[in-house]
Amino acid sequence: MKHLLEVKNLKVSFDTYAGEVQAVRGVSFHLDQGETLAIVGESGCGKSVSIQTVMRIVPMPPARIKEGSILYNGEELADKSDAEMEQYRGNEMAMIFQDSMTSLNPTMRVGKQLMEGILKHQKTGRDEARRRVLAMLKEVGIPDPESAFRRYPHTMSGGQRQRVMIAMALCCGPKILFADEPTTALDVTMQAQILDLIGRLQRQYDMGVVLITHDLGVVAKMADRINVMYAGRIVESGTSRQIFYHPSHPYTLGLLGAMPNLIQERKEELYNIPGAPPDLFAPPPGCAFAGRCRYCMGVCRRADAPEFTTEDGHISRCWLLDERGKKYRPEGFGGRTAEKGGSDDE
Amino acid sequence: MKKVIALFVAAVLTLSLAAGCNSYTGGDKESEGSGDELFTCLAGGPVTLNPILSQSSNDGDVFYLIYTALMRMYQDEVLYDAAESYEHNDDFTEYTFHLRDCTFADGTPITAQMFEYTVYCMLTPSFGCGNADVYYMLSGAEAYNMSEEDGDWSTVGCKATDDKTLVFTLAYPDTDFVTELAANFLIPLQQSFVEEKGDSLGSSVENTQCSGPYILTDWQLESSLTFEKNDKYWDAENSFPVKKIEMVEVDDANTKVAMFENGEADAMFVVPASYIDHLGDEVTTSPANGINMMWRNSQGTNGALMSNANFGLALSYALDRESMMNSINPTTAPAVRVVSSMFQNDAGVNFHEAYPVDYVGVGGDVEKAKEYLAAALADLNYASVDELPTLRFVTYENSEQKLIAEAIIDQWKQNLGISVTLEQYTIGTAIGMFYTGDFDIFDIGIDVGVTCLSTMDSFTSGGSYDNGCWHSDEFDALIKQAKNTLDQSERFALASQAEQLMLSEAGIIPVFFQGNAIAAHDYVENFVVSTIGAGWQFNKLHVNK
Amino acid sequence: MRKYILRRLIISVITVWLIATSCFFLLRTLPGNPFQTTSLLSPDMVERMMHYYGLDRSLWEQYITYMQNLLHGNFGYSLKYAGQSVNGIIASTFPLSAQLGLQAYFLSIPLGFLFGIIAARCRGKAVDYGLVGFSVLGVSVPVFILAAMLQYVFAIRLKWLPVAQWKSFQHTILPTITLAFSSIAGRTRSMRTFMLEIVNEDYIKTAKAKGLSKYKIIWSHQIRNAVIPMIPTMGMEIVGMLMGSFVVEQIYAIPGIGAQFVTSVQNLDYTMTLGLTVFFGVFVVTANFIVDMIYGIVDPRIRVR
Repeated sequence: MKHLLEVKNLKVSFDTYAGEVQAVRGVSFHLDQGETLAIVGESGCGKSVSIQTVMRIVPMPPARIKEGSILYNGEELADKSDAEMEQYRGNEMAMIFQDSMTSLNPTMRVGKQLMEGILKHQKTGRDEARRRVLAMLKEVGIPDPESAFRRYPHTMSGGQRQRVMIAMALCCGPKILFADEPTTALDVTMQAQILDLIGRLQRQYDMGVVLITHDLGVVAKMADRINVMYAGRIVESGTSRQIFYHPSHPYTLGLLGAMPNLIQERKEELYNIPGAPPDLFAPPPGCAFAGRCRYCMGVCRRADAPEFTTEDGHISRCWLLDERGKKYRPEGFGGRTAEKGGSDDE
Repeated sequence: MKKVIALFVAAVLTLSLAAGCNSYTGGDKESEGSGDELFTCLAGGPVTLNPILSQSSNDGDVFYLIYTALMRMYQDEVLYDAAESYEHNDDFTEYTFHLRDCTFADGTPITAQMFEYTVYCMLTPSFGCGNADVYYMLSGAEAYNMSEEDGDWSTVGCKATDDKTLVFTLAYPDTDFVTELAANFLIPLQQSFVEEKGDSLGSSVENTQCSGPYILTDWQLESSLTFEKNDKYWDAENSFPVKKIEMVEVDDANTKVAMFENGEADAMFVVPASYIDHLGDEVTTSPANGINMMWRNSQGTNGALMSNANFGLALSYALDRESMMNSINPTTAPAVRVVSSMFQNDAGVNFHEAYPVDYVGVGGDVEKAKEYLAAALADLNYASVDELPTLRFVTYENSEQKLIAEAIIDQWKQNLGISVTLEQYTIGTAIGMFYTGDFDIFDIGIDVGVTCLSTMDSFTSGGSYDNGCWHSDEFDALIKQAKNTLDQSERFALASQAEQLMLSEAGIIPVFFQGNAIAAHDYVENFVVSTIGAGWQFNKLHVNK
Repeated sequence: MRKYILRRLIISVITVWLIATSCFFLLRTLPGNPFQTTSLLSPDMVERMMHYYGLDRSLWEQYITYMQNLLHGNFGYSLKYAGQSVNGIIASTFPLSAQLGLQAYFLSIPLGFLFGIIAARCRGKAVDYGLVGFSVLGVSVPVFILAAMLQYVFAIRLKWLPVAQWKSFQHTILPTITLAFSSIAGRTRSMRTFMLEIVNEDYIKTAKAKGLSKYKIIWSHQIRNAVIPMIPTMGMEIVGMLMGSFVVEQIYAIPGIGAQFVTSVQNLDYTMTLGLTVFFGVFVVTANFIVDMIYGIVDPRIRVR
């Protein structure tokens, strides 16, 4: 089945003075039209680098694609030149970023920034481009598009700027929208509005959305499928339901456990995963999570786990899922609550 | 991108637009007109061409070319200029000059009243002349000039009895009066012109009324001067052959020498010391009209020490002037006299040879210096050299002065063991400190003067250099007597006695005589600097290109 | 906006007045007097000249007279150059320095920016190292050494250009290059730094994500934002250039205003020094005002309310 976007075994490294930093160590995922894929993980796990590499906006002299293929509608993007990629960026795939204040040129009027993409990709005149921009601004919910067109980014509120960014990304009608932590810098009410907006626009334009976040609450609301990344690899991947109800990786367990619960008793300490991510200069030979994992076994340190399929479309890289690790599985592993749906390997 | 290119193109265009205006022919300067023309670099240009307010000899250099004078100097000789003859009475107290027929460049005839008017302007207090003392030899002049208000001009001994006759009455018998007059370069001033121009007299070409061998056709302040020969000058045919002179002020040593070597300049005043060897035989060195000397402050905190003659002699004898000046500036000559070597006595014998003094030689005498020091310590009840206070050596800012001062201080330290600190200030400040007595030892160069008595006269009580540093009744008496003597040989003998006295009491300590170094290419003849008085003495200059 | 301009204007006037006043009184603290700057003069003569120029009146009286004249734009007469008005001297020397300064300035702007942009684009390559090395050299080499070298190579050896003076256009080439050299070097370095800083900014990433071409990103986004922080220094720079460089003018024998700044103080020429200081002060104040206005126009974040 042909996916809109298929990434296979992508490896991206940064060549620095101190050596090679393996930021992405073999990542594979896919995205179809109309679906929302969430990539979660902590800072530095390689989620931003992966999607930026797809769009090739990560600075290529220090970074390079070691291995892997990026197929967009069947076309291989990994060996295209930077100039060739210009056709895809903004046009076929777009990205919005976390910090809307710094992601917009502070000395250029908002309207002009929005028009740039249209003028480049859609070969229209300025008047037509302006019309489209105004329409787009209205679409994303900016109250007075005419006046917003002439304003500068710093005169707008955070929420408005984020809408502008979304408008900018969608101006040329891309098929894929990469959203890199779009709501992290916003307050909760604004978060909800922006997420609603993204969702609405996704349905309207039938886009595929890749949503990067570390906030599982956001994921729960928006995502169809979830990839959990750690130290440059996807450690667990599955549908939303599968991940939330049947987490199959200790790291995922940790993430879920670390979510603050509104009705949690005050006395309970917030759970956090002890330790820190490994040094990507010299990734350990075994499982990267081994040092922090409660359930770490001897084999974990020596060899990296292969992918295990627990349910249909639900994979996880953990030795615990191996036959031989059965007896070390904690209670409820492979199933968070005694829920139906999905077979347990127990 | 387009805008960058546009900016670039605009910049290039504007520059190249201006490029089309002039073309440059290259290094070797082609002679544009016919006949003699001179292009030279000079070190200091005039600041004003107003003879009343002029303070600097740079102005005087220009006056020599653009004005006619009663008499003028050429090297050591006195020449007739506007005056064609003169006579004096028996006791040299009255001089009468007879003028020839001559005019200003604009045709106005020059009369004797105009010369009288000039002296009037210089002596009248409200005109603010700073050099009025050069005419104090006239009777009544000093009193007239020193009064608060303008007085009665008829009391001053300068009268034009008719259009062509000028009579001077002197305050004392002066056998050197004509030389002094020529050196002071007395020019005619037209009263109507002076009153019309007022404050701006001599501030530009339009505000200057030329009367001399050249007309000033262009003057850029601190930059350049252009002169063209004045055919109306009475002696135009027989003197000052060069038709056009262009002068450019260049302060930078490298640039000056480069222009000279390049052929852009035919000649150069003031060759920088470091280039003298490089330019070889195109350079001529000669003694200049200045002596550099040290004063000791007898009125200050260390007054007692400073007035002690033995100490002064110690300081003087400890210096090896010869090697010091040779290494610092070879155009100078070490000085162990007050009177310049430029002067000769009535028999034509060089003053130094005719009247030797009992004083230290140019190489110094350290043994004797130590003796003087011991005597000084005894006089003042110091047990040893170490008890002496640290002295302050004040002078003006100049790299050469710095070298000289440091060399002097170093020799004192080595040979006598005294410690002296050096303080250098800009010249205005340094001179200010001199007059307020804010120093122990002060060093500066002064003019040698017109006659062998001129310098020493300034050191008598009330003279211009009398700063209370040194005083001697005997010296005052000797000078007065010498000035009043009519007998030449007696006059020189008295001068020499005065000089000996001044040196023996260490009134001042001479250091070196200033020297000149000028350069000219070999196709230039008779390019000389003045010896007595100021002036670019191009009387016999030829440029044979 | 109008209130702002008015306020700035008033402050500027007060600033210039303060400059003039403090300079007036500070100059008098220097020992010595204007008439004894080349040789010893007897105190009586000095007194004579002081009286003629009105310098023996009380300081307060002199100050009032000076301020009255200043209000009419009259700087008075120079004490050293008898008969020359300060206005006249400034009027004859300033245009030369200004021309030299403007030529050097307009040479250094495009070149400096261009080299900076090139160096930033080719970061890490030979061109970049070369340009950075050039900029370090340009800022470190003293002006007089550079001038002497240029003179030697182009005027003496090759004889392409004249050694000194200010007569034809060819005469202006070497002084302009000498004066512009360190300015180009400094600007190259600054531009390179700002360009490199900006390339890491998020909005550049956004621009790239929109699919804009390299050149469009550099031009529309990078350069404009890199130039903004350079504007404040450019204001003072042009003032410095217009006011003439003492060293350049001396070496190339250009009768500009730079020399006057130095010699007037050495000569204790009160009126000249005061005139030059006030002139310079007015310039600086005006330049700062213009720079602030331009800055506000170019950077919308700093708009005046």
